Amino acid sequence: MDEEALIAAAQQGDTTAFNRLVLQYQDIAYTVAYRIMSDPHAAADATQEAFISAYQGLPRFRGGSFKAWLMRIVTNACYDELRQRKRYPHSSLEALYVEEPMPASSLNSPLESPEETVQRQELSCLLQAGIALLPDDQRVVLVLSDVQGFSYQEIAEAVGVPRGTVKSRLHRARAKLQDYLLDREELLPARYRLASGAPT
Amino acid sequence: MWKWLKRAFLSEHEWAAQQLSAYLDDELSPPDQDRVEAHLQECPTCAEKLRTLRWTVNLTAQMPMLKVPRSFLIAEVLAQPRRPPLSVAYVYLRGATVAVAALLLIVLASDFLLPYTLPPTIPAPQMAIREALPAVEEVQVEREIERAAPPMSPAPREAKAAAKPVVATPTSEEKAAKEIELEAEQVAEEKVEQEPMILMAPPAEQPPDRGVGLKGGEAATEQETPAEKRAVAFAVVAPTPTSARVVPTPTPPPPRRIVKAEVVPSPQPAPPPPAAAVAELTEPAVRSFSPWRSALRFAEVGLGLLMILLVGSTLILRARQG
Repeated sequence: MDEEALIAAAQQGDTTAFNRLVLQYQDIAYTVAYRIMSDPHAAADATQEAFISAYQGLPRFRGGSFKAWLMRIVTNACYDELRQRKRYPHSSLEALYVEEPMPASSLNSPLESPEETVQRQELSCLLQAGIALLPDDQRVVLVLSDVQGFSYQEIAEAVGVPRGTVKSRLHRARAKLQDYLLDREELLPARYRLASGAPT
Repeated sequence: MWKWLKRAFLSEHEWAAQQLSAYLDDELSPPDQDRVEAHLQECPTCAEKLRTLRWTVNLTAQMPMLKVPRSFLIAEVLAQPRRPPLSVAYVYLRGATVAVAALLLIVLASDFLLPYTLPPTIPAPQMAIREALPAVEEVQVEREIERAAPPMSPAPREAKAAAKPVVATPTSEEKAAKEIELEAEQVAEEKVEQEPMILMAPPAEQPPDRGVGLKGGEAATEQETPAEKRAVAFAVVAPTPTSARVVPTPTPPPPRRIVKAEVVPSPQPAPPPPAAAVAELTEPAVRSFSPWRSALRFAEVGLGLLMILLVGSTLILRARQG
């Protein structure tokens, strides 16, 4: 059954069809939530809330990109969670000492050696810390674009802003992250450094 | 407009530097893309910036997809309470009902609080009228008694007079005066119980030959002078259930004044002054906020009707939606 048929069945109240959509998109949803919030527990809660909201709001889905529609719900859930965390700052302090969740594909990548996996994990931790320093609106756009590979149009639909705004926010977010990485280039594994001929 | 101004004031180098991110994502229009590429051929600084930016984007793209810590499948329980979305008409009707209810409450509260918020502005002359009100009430009582004093009384007396017509003569004036005195006392006693509605009748311009046959021949009425007949006549309408009868009466003769003087100090409790007379005297005190009050009453009725309509429509729509 293709995605449109699953969506149509889920709109009629078929929970099984909706759960198949959940299985299809839960990795992306959780990864986006974690990259935005930098807290695995809060990201899990936001993801669960997003899927419940998506199920309840599915009758209002009028076609288009289901992934963009779902990511909009996820980012809204993250915004709600972030606002709550700003009211209670202790939760963000806890998040600093939480290790990054395991990659979904670490056990299933035969082309990558264990050492490369560790180096990639280090890179991911450093980048996550840099992304966490960005403002919320720029962080969401950068995660959707550079981490998840969304087009500008999909990001505009997911965030609910014009494409021009996506373009300018992404430009500023990349500039800040670039400066952050250049300042900490020596912390990166050797193969990821700019001076050592990293992939550009 | 802003984009055009911005582009006009930026140098080619600044503009190209701002487009590098979109150029990297292939999100520029073909003319802008050609322009950026032309600038990159000439500007090594921008070429280096593009290289650094691509390095950053490539590193970010290597961030792995994360493994979910738990399943996010939706339980069957969550499927049950889902309700269909409310229609737009129902949402608007519900909002309008709430708004009208709030407005009605405000109007009701204003109506209730109006006498407390607006101090009654009573001018000095009106205050003097208020202080003189007891004296005016006494005068009013006298007028009532004077109106009740004529022998024109309710239906039973008319029937009695019709059954036994009296032909009065000039020599029987004293006898008629005694009858009037007795009847006046009787009327003063009955008035407390019956309280007939008193109406002012127009001045009776009656020819002398019609005085006897008005209502079966009233005593002491046919010998009156034309000057007396031109005086203001009173009519006593009995509260009979069948019809109200207006009986024109002549001006009371001089003995009736004596009757009135004798009736006033009688031990019978004086009837209360008419409400209209009291209201006429006290009306200026409340006139300051009476236009507001009438407007508020009008708004209350209108809003109440609108509220009933809206509540009915909302309930019907909700019942149809299930």
